[in-house]
Amino acid sequence: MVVSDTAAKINRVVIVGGGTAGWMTAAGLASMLGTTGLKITLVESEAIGVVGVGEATLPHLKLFNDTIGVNEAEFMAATSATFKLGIEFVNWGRKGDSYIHPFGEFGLPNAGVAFHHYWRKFAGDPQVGPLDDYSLPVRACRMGKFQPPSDDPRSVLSTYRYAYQFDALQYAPFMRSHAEARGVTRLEGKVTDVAMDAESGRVTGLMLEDGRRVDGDLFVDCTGFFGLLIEQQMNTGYDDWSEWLPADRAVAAPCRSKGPLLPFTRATANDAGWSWRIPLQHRTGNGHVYSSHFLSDDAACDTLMGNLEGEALADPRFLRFVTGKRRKLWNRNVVAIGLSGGFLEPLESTSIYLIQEGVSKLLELFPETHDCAVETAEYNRWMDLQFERIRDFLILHYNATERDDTDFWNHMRTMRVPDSLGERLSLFRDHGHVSAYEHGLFLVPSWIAVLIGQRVMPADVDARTGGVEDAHIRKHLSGLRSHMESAAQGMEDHAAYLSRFANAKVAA
Amino acid sequence: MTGGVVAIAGPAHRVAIVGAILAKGWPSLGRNLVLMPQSTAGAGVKLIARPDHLRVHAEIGLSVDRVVQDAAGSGVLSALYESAIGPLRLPFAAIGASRGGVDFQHYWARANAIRPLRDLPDFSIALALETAVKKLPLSGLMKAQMPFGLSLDRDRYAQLLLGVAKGSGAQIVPSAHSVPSEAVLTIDCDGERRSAKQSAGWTGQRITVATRDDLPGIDWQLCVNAARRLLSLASNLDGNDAVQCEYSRLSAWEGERIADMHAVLISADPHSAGRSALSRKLELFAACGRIPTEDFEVFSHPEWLCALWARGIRPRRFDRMANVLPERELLKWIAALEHQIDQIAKGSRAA
Repeated sequence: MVVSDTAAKINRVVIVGGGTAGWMTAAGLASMLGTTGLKITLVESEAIGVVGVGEATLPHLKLFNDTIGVNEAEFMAATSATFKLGIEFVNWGRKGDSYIHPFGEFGLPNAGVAFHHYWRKFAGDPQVGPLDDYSLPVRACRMGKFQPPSDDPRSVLSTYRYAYQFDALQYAPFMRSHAEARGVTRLEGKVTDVAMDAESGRVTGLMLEDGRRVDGDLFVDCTGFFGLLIEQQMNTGYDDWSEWLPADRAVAAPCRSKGPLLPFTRATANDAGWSWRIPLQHRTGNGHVYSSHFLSDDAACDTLMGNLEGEALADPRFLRFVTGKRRKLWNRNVVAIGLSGGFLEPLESTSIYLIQEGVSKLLELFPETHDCAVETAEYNRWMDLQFERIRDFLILHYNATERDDTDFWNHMRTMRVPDSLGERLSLFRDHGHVSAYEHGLFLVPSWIAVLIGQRVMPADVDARTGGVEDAHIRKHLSGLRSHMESAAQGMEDHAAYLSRFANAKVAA
Repeated sequence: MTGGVVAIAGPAHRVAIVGAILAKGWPSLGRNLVLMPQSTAGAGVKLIARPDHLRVHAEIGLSVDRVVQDAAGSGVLSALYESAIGPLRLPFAAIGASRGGVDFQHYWARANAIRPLRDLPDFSIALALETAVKKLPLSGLMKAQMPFGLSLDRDRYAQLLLGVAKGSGAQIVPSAHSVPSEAVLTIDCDGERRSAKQSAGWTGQRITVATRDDLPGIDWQLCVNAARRLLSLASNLDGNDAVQCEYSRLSAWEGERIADMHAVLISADPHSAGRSALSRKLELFAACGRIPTEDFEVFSHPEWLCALWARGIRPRRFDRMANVLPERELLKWIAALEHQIDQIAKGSRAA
């Protein structure tokens, strides 16, 4: 019997689509609500491939893993993971430039004034050096070092966090075993039809190719770009952001690793996009994100394959996408998590973060019945905010550039940016101020890293720096710089640490 | 500082707060900072400094002990507001304790359905302590790591902070003087009250600081935020369009959040206040017991929780994750909290 009244209790969740989003959702729901009587079923078909989104992650994933009870060493061993302290950006401000967006602070604030203001007063002075010198994770990245952060807030080793780089094709099976151990039922099968309640417009069940029917109260669409439920059934609509982020294709190919195992992801700006390099234990992940308006598929592929550091381990694989998000990520009784909800290029490793945020927010607002319009509205407001703020941060990378060597970069440098970003840029250029907001992924240190890394130098600094004598600031900077240097030196080699910690078989 | 005078005018305590923070935080202003405090009527009037006072006073070089001593202060764990239902105390610290990422009120609701419990605010240690102990010892408050504010003699506090400003080079002139003609910026700490048309923000050469005498502690916070906002945004006094715009936007957000709370406290029916962010808070709390936050909040979660609760808004359901805790463990935990509160009350009776 199909229950369509709003008072019916939500006791059955059906997740459509395996892959990273599907199994993260299943593991998250099962770990947090599995003992409350919630029945969770995941339907996936081995005949349908997975995109394997996001090999590189952000530090928030550790919190997610910890919350749902994932053992870190087991997870790293099972997914061929490496540690990650930041992202290196090459050729973004100008060709030949390199900076690292670290997962941590720059220096230490003083009297309520952010460190970069003190540094800016003497920027350009060789005795003071680049801002990077005042970030321990940047120093560690450059030296190929790693050590877990300290819990002691007085230690410089507490000024950073870490994330992981892992094989996404191994991550989904790992999450699957975690979810199944907590009661999630997996059904193998291809969805051929969707049953809807005509009155409420809600999805009531899925018809599988073999004739089985899977009924549910709440459906999570993890079917990727296709959006089997959220778009094909619900016609939710899509906000297209390609006006600001015109990259619409990617080509990816893994290769054998060469050289030291680095604790960071690299994003290298190319003529009409950028390339990623993600070091894993057993291989290196590579890809080229580009705009088809400015570059052909063949040329993009040539750029990728021509720059592989080692022998290719698979044929190049192409992906097409439209940057943007669904108008509603939660529509009636369907929640879109992962690529079905939206796509932002992986320049700042945000794909898995957005999945995690979708799961966490769903858990927070998990409805009791179908009478949940308020919860739905709050979920959509929250996710919209997340997407929009990441979007602005990504646009910043393209727009804050001096590059004028290709049509693509001329377009990106001169395009009109969203007002929300334009105002931020103006404030920083004039006074070094970064508007802080309470909600949103990227905090002030991230903005500082990219802005200064891409040569946007504030014309003036916080007036409060005048309260400290120049000689004192210089002395402090010098001491801090040395301290960062020696702290990084004292950290362990990343590969050695990893090998010991996760019993990893690090590729020679 | 590009030259020129910055004049701060208005009631003495407000001028003193803004002036001391600017004088200490922006040393190059020096003697170019002119404070024009206007004495206010009513000796012995109290002023509440919200929990942010620890940081604010540290930044201007004052210890808590010194503030308490010079301004006849004492620690407070809540602020008392007038509301549509009579006097209402909102605690600065959390009620009960969160567990497994789930706030206490969800566990309270679940346990209350099993056996009737005392009212939710009665699980506030802050409120219990404040009821039980007449004068909270400062050393105990510092050790307890519980957010606390200060109740201060307004005039003595103003004198203390004016002294801080003067010590950092600011000039103090009688309010009867007119604003110096060379002033490149005037900070009007009373403009909003004097003119209904003058909203808080920065326009041209004038900054208007919002006023809010009807919400204890908020007047203090508004002055603190105004001064800090200016310090963090303006590296000089040009105040170009982007800076003025950002300053005014932050001031407006702050005003909106305060107005939200005011509507909850005062409106006969908060739902009809017609405020979108407030409606979100009211509706989501009523739906599932969660209180959504905006980018800029003035009041803390416990204050919102108590205000909504006091106005009779009750969640229709509690968080499903609160069901994860086994019933026996839940009731044992609740009993322990009840015992703790009872001990506080008993301790006061014994004293």
